[in-house]
Amino acid sequence: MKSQHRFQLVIVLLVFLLSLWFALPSTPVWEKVFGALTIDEQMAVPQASLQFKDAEDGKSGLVEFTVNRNAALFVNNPKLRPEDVLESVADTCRRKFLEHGITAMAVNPDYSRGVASIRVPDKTGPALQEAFHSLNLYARLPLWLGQLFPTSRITLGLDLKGGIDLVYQVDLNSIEKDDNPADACQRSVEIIRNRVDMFGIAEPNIKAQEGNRIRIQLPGVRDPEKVKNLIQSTAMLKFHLVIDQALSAAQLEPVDQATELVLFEPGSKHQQGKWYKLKRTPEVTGRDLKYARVAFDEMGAPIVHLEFNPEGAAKFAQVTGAHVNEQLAIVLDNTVHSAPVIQSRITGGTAQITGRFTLEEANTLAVVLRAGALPASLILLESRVVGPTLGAESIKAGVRAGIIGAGLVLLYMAVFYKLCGVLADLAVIFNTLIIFATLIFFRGTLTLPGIAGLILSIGMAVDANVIIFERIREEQRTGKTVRASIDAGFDRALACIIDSNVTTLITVAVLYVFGSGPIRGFATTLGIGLIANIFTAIFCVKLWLEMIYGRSKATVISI
Amino acid sequence: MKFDFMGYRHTFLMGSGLLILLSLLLLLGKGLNYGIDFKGGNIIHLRFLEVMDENKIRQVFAQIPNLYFKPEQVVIQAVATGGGKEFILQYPAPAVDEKETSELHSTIMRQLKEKAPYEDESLAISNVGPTLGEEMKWQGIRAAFFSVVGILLYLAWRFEFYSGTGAVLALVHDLIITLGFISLLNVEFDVSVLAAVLTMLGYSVNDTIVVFDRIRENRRLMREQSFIALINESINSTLGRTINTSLTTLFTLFALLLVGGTSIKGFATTLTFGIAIGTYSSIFVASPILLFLTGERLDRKRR
Repeated sequence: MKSQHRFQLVIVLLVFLLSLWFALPSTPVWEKVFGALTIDEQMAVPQASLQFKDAEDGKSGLVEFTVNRNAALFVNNPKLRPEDVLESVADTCRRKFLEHGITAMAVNPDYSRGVASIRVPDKTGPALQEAFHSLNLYARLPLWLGQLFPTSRITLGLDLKGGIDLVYQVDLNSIEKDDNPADACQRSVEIIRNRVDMFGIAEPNIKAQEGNRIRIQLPGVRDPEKVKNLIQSTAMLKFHLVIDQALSAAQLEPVDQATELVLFEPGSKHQQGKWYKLKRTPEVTGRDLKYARVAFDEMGAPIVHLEFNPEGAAKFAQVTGAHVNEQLAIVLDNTVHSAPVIQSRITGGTAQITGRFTLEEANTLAVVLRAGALPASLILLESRVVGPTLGAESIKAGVRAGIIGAGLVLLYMAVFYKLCGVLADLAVIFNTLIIFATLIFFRGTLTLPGIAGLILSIGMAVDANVIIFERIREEQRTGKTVRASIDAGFDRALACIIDSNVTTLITVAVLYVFGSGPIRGFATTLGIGLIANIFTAIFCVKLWLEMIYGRSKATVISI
Repeated sequence: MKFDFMGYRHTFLMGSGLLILLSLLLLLGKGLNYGIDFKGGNIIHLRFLEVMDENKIRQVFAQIPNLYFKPEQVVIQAVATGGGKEFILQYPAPAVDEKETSELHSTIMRQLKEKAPYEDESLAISNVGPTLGEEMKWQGIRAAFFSVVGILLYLAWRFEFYSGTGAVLALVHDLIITLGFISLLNVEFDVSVLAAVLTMLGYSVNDTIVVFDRIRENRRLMREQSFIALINESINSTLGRTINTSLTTLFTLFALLLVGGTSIKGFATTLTFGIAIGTYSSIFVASPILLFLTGERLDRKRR
């Protein structure tokens, strides 16, 4: 072997090993060997902490696991909260169950104890244990082996992972007159982020965009309507004194628009809707709120418990003291929620919103009140929701198309160009590996069009080799030696290959700059593929050919 | 085996002219079927728990109060592989984006869920309001403009005037006929189809470049031959490459088309057709135009 070849071979091997090192943790093989949970998660939630229980109904089972708050992971990384790990472990578990055709009914995290339980239908005791172990959540090899690999995995786009992508317009007509629009947008972003965080949604991506817009991307959300509600409700809480009430707005006439306000209280099963005439100026508002949480009344129904700051408490005491036996309406987002009669002066700085909640509604309300009111109302411009199953199916379909397409290409090349075709095949496989590794290294996002780009780049990657091989064939026909044909083939084809890649790269660059999320994914994979192709199809294949034919006395190339 | 491509150039040019004419008629008459990305609108892809039919779904919509559209306006499409449970429903966007729109979408989903339960996990909903649809249209036009300009600049730098003109006309040919094809098959023109069209443009120029490169090279080597013979020779010697590269790309596209899933179908269809037409045009359109522009004059000079 020539020393130049030896050096080049070392480079090729290094690139190969490096790519493999990055790509391996994102492959299905990795899950089989080192488990679906990350190494860190496996150490924080050890397999030994698992408990399998039969649920009280006798028909379903519970998988319960506990997070070890003292795990090295949390000591080394104080920002990481045990709750997050619990959440993520539960989510992976639920996803894996789903892949095995079992829909986990409910995931109930108990953050105070650091325990989460997953309820699984139709499985109890040993059957549950067996099902759970088939999920491959934990490593079969020693964990230190897994720790040698990078922790970053491929980032899947919302179209593959499932999730919700929202674009809102901040309605500038609805902000207070003395408020600054840019500031109102920024505050809205903060408040939405608080709400989403408090609600426990992992990896949210919330940012302000040009034109007073807010984009919110939340992966893995299962109930889009609930989340939209959480984000959109302005959560403007106000307490108004009631002047009059009636079953229709007309009965409340005349209304003095300057000092009075007419609002509706929606009806329920037991009660008809009602109209209220209220004093326009609120007595106390949500701004004076210190805290809001869910509690239960003596009947066990969920209520929202409010705590005011000292200023709010003083206002509340003053108004309740001065208006005993009058009604005080609790108004939320311009709808009367209820209008209880003031029994006596309330001095403790606390109040309760009762009635007509489910636990979930009470929870959402407490969260939005705690996070604060939005300074403006939001107009939904775009919303895209993809369910996790649909995303998983897209991945499966993409992988299947990739295998079939790649198989055809590889076979065709091997049949048509014999040994050289096989080398081109190796180069294409190498190229795909490099695309994956680069994507992971630069934290690019793999989307459904991205998979299409990846598959397309398999078909396009052999392009360069076809040009070279056709050239080598021609050179051979003119009677050149093996070495001379190979050299001439590569030299003459080079300009042509670069040309043909450049035009495709131009469109890819434009798509990257102008495209939105999914299309950008397409541009990324195809673009990386075209650039890496120059290394694999030209550098690697030339090296391999020279190594094979360098010493041999063959007079014809297998092409 | 040598094929006299240039001998048939008039036939092929006339055929292409006819295709362009038909495509233009289609585009002007029928137009493109813009997807919700570009015109706003709403698509719900869902799997009901029970077998449903169009009538039942329409009835659910009829029961929803305060709809801004008529239940008849809902486009209901059953997914072929869905066993009568999987549907794609499409309803129009409101005239303007309003605060209440979001609530209305929620109401529709709630009512569907209540009257015809569906699987939560395999749901896909896209709601695009009119504002964003209009913006995306401009964004798309800008993207198309910049990629065409980029390719033109590259061609201008890379080729002399006549070859460049030949390549550009072939590109325009591919673009018009592909758009005509999209219109004919009623492919929903969304962002991914636009991406396919632009990718096709870049790829189609490739083929032309390879043939033209060979013509340029042969011009130096084969001074004795007539230009027609020279072009024929160049096309024939690059033919293996042209067919093989297009075939390998088409293999992967066919795979995407057949098993890649519904959401990628428009993309795969467009690109498959685009690459086929791009390969055709580099041989049968670009080279005859080059011959028309320069060759006949060259021939005369030699005689």
